[in-house]
Amino acid sequence: MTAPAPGTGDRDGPRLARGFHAASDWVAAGRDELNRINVFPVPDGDTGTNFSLTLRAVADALQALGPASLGDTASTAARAAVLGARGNSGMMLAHFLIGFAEGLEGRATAGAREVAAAVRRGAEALEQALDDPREGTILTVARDAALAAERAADDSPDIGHFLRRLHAESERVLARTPELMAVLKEAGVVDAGGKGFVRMIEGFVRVINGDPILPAQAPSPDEAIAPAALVDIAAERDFQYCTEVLVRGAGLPAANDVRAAMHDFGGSVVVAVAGDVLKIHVHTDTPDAVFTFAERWGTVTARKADDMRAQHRQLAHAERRRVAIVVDSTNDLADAALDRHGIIAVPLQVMFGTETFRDRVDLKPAEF
Amino acid sequence: MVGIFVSAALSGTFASAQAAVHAAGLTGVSLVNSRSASLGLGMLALRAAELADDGWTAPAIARELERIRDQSGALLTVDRYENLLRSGRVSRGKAWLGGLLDIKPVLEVDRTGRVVPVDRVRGAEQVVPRVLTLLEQRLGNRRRQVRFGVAHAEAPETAERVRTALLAAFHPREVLVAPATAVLGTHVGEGAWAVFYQVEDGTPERGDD
Repeated sequence: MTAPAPGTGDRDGPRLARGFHAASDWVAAGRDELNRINVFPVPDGDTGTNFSLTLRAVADALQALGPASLGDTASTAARAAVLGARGNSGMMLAHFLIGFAEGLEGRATAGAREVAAAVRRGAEALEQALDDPREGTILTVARDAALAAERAADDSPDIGHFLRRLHAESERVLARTPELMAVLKEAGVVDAGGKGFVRMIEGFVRVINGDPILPAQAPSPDEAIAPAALVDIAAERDFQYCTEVLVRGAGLPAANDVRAAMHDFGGSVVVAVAGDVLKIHVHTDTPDAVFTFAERWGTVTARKADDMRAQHRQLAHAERRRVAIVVDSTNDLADAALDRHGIIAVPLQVMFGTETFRDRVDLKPAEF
Repeated sequence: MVGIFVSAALSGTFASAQAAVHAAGLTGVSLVNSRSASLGLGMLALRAAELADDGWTAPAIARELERIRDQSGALLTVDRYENLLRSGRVSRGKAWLGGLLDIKPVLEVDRTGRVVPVDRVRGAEQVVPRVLTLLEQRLGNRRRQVRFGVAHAEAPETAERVRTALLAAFHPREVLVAPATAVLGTHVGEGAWAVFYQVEDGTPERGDD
């Protein structure tokens, strides 16, 4: 089949897919800038990488899908985002796309009004999914831009007109994020996740305008193992592990029920359900208990637990220091002291009979 | 990178690290044998972090840590020394300790990083004053730039008492208090505690190469 011309017509599956490809490339091209301005929730410099890799997962899934109806394309994108979500910004994007896909469900094509309604539904889904919605983030950018741009869809059936307006409005809202969040204002930056969202929309606009998309930078070698972003929204307390679980199964519980259950394990809970896939993000001290608990809902197909203290340590002193300080785990300094001074502790092994434990990782002083 | 490890006389960790660095042909890595344990190496790491923040190079930091190490030390006491004997971490003191069931030994981490007995006292209440006296002998009358670390195995009240006494007697930069980690806990046993002192006097202006 011939590819539909970009521009003014109704949106169909292949056009939407092409938009996601462009958005993925455009966000990837701006990745370093997004990483640089990442100060919230935790200044860990990985929002660009996370947002970009989540969109890449979407683009890859659409490539594999091939030409399909608009509804199927959108739901494939949402599902891929849930599966491939990295960090907090990735999870927020996934929620947005879940709502977006719901808005286009069953449609072969859609005009400006329908797309505008779907974008707004995406923003609503995102807001409902968040445990502790904070203004000045992707949430604000997506919601306020969607509302403002809906008027453009009323003015003209031209989808390009709508997307350009959506882009302009999202830029405007993004510029306002420092007023909504003090930490951004102090650092003199806009919200990194919000900016990722704006760049995604810009990618869609550029493909319609026929503007060039810069080739994505090659991912750095360590990117594949880069940890997910740290979501410490007004950290209820200092949890150690950023934990994610992926569960597959028929008859998954409602996202709200899962979220309520996860509150017993920790904070910064984000839960997404798309079809037969459930993804849970939680900050906790007991990742193993979370993994075990999640088994009641289906088959746990992926899990990870990143030690946030270790990540924070490495970042906090990386810029000032040319010399890394490493000490073995028998040093007895408190974790807080290690963090504060940017000292890396490597575990020493303790043997009890035939069992080997890593000091301070598998064993806590209190167990003695 | 500067790597700081538990006393080579107590554990093979330092030797393993040396072997790993050598085998991998790593450059820019300086290893320091703390000749101590617990907060002894913890406090060396704190000093190393300060020097790194001041822009010192790895070899310069390592040299300075070795200099500090050679004027620092630790005193420790155990409630039940069976653990020490069983784990083989007391060499020369082993026989000496044998018959003294009702007597509390005071041990020292010596300049080579070995644990040796230095004194003994009758009754647990005598231990803290004696350790303070021994510290005064080692630190002298001159006011020194010193840090202390008090590590304890399930003896937080004693550790707090020691901390208060150290603050009053020596006006240190800081006194850290910490429960001993699993590794050391297995060696010294419940009720044991130690005072690590780190003398930082005479630090050169800047140790750049």
